[in-house]
Amino acid sequence: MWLGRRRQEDFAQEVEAHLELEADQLRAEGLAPEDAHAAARRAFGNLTSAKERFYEASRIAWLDQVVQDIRYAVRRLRKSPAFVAAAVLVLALGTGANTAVFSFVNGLLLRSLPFSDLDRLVTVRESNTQGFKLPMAAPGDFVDWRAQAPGFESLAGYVFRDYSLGGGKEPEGAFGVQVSARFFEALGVRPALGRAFLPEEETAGRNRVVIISHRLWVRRFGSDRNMVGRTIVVDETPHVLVGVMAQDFEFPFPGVEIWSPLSLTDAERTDRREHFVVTVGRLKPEVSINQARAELSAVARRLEIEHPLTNSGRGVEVVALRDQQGDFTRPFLVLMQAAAILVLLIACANVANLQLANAASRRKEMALRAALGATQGRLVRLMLAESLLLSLAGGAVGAAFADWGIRLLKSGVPKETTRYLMGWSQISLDWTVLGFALAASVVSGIVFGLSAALRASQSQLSVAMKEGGATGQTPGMSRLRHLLAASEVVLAVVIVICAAQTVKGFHGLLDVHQGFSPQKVLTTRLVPPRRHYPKPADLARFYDLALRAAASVPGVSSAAAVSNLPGGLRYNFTETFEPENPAPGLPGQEASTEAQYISADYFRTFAIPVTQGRPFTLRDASGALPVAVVSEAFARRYLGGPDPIGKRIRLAGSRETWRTIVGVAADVRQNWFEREPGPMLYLPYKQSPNRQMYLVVRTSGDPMSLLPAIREEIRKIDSNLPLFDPKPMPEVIEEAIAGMRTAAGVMAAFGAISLVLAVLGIYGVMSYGVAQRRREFGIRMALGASRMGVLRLVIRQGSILASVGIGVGLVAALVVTRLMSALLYGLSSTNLALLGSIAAIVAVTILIACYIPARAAARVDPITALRHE
Amino acid sequence: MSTRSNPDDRVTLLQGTLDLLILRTLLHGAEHGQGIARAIQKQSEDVLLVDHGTLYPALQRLEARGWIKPQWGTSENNRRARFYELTKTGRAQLVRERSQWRQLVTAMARVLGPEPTEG
Repeated sequence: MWLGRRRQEDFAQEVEAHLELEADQLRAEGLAPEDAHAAARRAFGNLTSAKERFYEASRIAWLDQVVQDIRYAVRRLRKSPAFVAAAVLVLALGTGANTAVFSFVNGLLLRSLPFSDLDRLVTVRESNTQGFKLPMAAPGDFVDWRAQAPGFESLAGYVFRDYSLGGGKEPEGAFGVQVSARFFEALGVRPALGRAFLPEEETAGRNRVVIISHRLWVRRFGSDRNMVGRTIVVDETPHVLVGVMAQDFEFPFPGVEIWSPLSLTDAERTDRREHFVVTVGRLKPEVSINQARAELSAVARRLEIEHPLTNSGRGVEVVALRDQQGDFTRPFLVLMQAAAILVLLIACANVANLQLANAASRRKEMALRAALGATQGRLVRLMLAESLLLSLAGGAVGAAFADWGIRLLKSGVPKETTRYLMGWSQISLDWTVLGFALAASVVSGIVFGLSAALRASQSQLSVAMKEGGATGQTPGMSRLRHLLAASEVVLAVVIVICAAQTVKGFHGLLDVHQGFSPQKVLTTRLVPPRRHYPKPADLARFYDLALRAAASVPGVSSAAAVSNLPGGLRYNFTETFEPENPAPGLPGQEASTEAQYISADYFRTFAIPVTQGRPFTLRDASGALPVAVVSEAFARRYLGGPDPIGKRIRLAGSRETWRTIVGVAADVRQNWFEREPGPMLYLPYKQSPNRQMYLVVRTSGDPMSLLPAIREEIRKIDSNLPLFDPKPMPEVIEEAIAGMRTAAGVMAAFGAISLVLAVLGIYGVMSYGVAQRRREFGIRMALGASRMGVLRLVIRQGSILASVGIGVGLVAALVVTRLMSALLYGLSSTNLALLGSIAAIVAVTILIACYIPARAAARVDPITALRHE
Repeated sequence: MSTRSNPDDRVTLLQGTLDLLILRTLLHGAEHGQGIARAIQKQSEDVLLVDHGTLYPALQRLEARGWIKPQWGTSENNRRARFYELTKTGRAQLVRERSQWRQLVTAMARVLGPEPTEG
């Protein structure tokens, strides 16, 4: 833009032409030629001022000045390297913390779904009258939605499942999903190689096709492009490999490796009891989420009338895919980012104080500049240029810190956990994150620079030159500095308390409520292939043999099988059921619960107390009386009444009959993010064996040392069966809580950083104040004040700062922690002991920091101090 | 604007009036700065005096707003000069400003009332 502006010479020429023309005219009017020029000049007025005004109004001048300001700022900063080093380091901590956290926010929240028109992508969920939100839909309902919702460009469903890969190589297990025909179309993606599924591949008989992940393609097929169109062995049946996805495609979960067509059987197409289909849909461009919800609600109402037995009270929810993702990571990320911003604010206050001290010595210079005609705006800009240089340097160093921090944080999260964190692979110091770092440093530069800049630009010449002399400390200035230092303490107290609550809460989760004993338990997954174990009875026989074999290994005290590990990353099955005599006030025909299929020794292996009735026995097999054990929460919620033994429930499903409750087990925390253990239904695996089970083995010594022996025993039963993911149970839990551990670690680090910065801030203000007041202390001592008295004077000032800061900080922390506990579970409650001990820690550190300048004040030699000026 | 106060009958220009006068002058055709100043002075029968030093910032302002556009050319007496020409938006602006000015004058006259007769 400024390039298009007129150049100064052009303007000078125009003025020159004006003067000539005027002189011509004056001559024509009869003036003597020699007077005409002078008269023209006179008439024009102040020539230089006109040119100056032209210059000031042009943008070149503005740019010139900016260059000047920067050059000047660089020159000034080079003269005080210690100040620069301190400021850059402090700012680097602040921006680095923000940048590192933001890279996680960016990857896990903003970029986790790299799809076009993400706003139009939704998922449809079901809810029942109890307010239970079911992440998965009944297949019958899904089929009807798909057929009757015109607002969707495409609506697809998918079902999680495990695959086994055979063929020439070592057999291996792989995670994947069965997807309905328009799955890839709904997401707006295409395979990088080959094609997506065709609509007709949903029908049984034509569904022997698969699409694989880039990673699997590289790992198992050596990146061979010719593999597309060939036949590979999946689940021991030949399938045609029709496509390979792009490297960054990881939907619906990271680590997904196989997609195959979802062919629902006729029975499944009308099944409205079991919920196992997850949906993803793309809305038409002109359709809003609310419209889609209204449309589907109408469908749901029709279904309620047509299928009252299953669907009464059942509603639908349409949720933006963006909002549905990261449900439990979001609060932690928000918490960390908020804390990081507070850390940056402390850093800003710190640097602002450094700058104020620095600016105090320049008041004369600023006043002189003002006297020589610099406008206030110009002076502010001069100071801001300096601040921005500092903050940009801080940002650059901060980006390096962040890079290190990102690596550190990423390496602290187990690989298994990252499979559940969509967008994990996107976390890096990329351009978006660097842009954020830049923005953060510019904003912080303005924030901390402005106070010093405004202060400096307000100095009046007469005042600056006279008062204070070399020291230049004015009451207003020191008030501002104290205010900044006190607010640092306020912020630090808030962060430290939040950090303490997160850390304490995290440990509290681990210590108190688990409800089972994970120590010395070995876990591994058994997936008997369908081909060799086609019928439920075959599966039951295999598991039975495997459990006996594992239990026979010396050092094993008990062995059990369970469909899903408690407290792990995976969701439990959700079962819907109806109680025989529903508790009064229970709405709807059906209720939902988490369910686990277990073997007889499950409770013993995990040391879960059975509080009433009996656990399962080997006799609870297929053909025997159908039985169930429920958790205490289940009994409270659904069977209302102290004695649930003998009551009956019926599960959803056509072949289900009434099951008798034979026992009640103590509550177990299945999910770390739930406030209370939810209801749990335990079913004997022998009465409906699962395609995959976890083998859990309690040992007397190190569980992993028994793995080879157990593997050998299982091999005797089936030599081809691999043991998937063998690991000790504490590791399973660690994987589930690694995110929280990371959050707690980050918060602890932020707490420590903020405390250090605040203490440094107070120390800085105090020692600067003492240096400024050397003369005063000298006089006091000359007049008889004791060294102890001076020491006390300074300490008192520091403690006033500390107590104001801590007091306000505690109040603010109370408000903040209340907000926080509404946001996320897992914090310890606010208690006086915690607040008190943190207040004490902060107070003591600050007093130690004050003692150093106080001692310096007390050591002032009256003679030298007075002679100094 | 002109800050010059003269003992004679010349009138100090009100803020903003210079712009209007320049636009009005250029209605007759392109003119250079000196010519504009002279024309205003002449048409007002020497009542309005344009300070040449303030004329150029005004021209610069009008040019920035796109109401006039400059062009180097040659004057009648063969001197190179920067001529200004009214643009389309400038013309519209003139109409707008002229009616505003008329309203202002009428309103002022109403408030001030009839000229008191001396004596």
